[in-house]
Amino acid sequence: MQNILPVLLLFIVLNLLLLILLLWAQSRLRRQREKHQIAVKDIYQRVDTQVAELQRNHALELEQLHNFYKDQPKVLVPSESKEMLANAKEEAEVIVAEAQERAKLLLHKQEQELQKSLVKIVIQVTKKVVGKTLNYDDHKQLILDTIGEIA
Amino acid sequence: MNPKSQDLENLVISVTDQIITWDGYEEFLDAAKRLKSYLTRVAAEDIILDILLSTQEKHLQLTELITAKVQQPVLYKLISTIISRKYFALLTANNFNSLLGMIAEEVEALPILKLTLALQLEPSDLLEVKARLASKYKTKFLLELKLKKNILGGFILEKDSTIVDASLEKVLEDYRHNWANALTNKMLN
Repeated sequence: MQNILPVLLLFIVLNLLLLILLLWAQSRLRRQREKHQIAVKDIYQRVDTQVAELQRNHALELEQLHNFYKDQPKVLVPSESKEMLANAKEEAEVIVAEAQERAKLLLHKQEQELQKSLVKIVIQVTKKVVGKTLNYDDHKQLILDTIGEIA
Repeated sequence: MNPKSQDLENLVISVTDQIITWDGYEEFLDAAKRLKSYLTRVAAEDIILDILLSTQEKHLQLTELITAKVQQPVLYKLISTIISRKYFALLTANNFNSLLGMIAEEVEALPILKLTLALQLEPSDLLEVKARLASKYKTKFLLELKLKKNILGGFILEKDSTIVDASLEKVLEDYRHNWANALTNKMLN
């Protein structure tokens, strides 16, 4: 029993020492973790700030670019210009042809109107002449003759 | 002397044939009514029924009494015919009234044909026109005359729902229309 006692005391002391060491290690580990978390948070914040600045700059550049091209004439490549020129020429030819056709029709119509007016005048004069030329007997004879002709 | 019914009918037909227009008929009717009053007023019946007067005397007296008073040509012709044929009884108030009734019945049953002319024809010429039209359409009718100088000559006839435009204006308008069409066709070609 007396031989066991010192060993027991030693064991207890050793355990106490081990416990103290463990507690110290734990507190140190916690401190390290807290430091690491703070560092990571700081990195995230810096990255966010940079991304926001980049986006702002990009938007600004886009706007400037848009404003610049808004007032600028479209610059065409040579092939595109030729095609457009050909199309315009074709359209112009069609317009000229249509205008010529319209002018021709108008001229015909006016000529026709003129001829019709002439016919009208001739008939009006004829009516006046006929009205004054026929005497009573002519009228009577015309009536009697026409009665014989009606169906 | 009383006329036979056939003679009476012929008298009525003769009057109907001489009446050209509805206006002419009304004019005839007015004159006939005036004559009827006159005959009553001058007691023509006394002459007609007087057995002491000879036919010749009645003829003379009635001619003197009536013919000078009648201006309307158709009525004048009717009265002259009655007197010359010695149908004196027709000139009594009642008989004359009956005769007018028969004429009215005949005339008012006639259809009316509308005729437009460029100038007014003389009654005798109108009668000829009416006779020719009656012969053409094989029916009797009265004319409703209308004057329209614009038609220049010829006539426009309206019978039932048919219009026959035989006017000079129509002929010239047709000519103008055909001429204008010919010009249009020539230009289109």
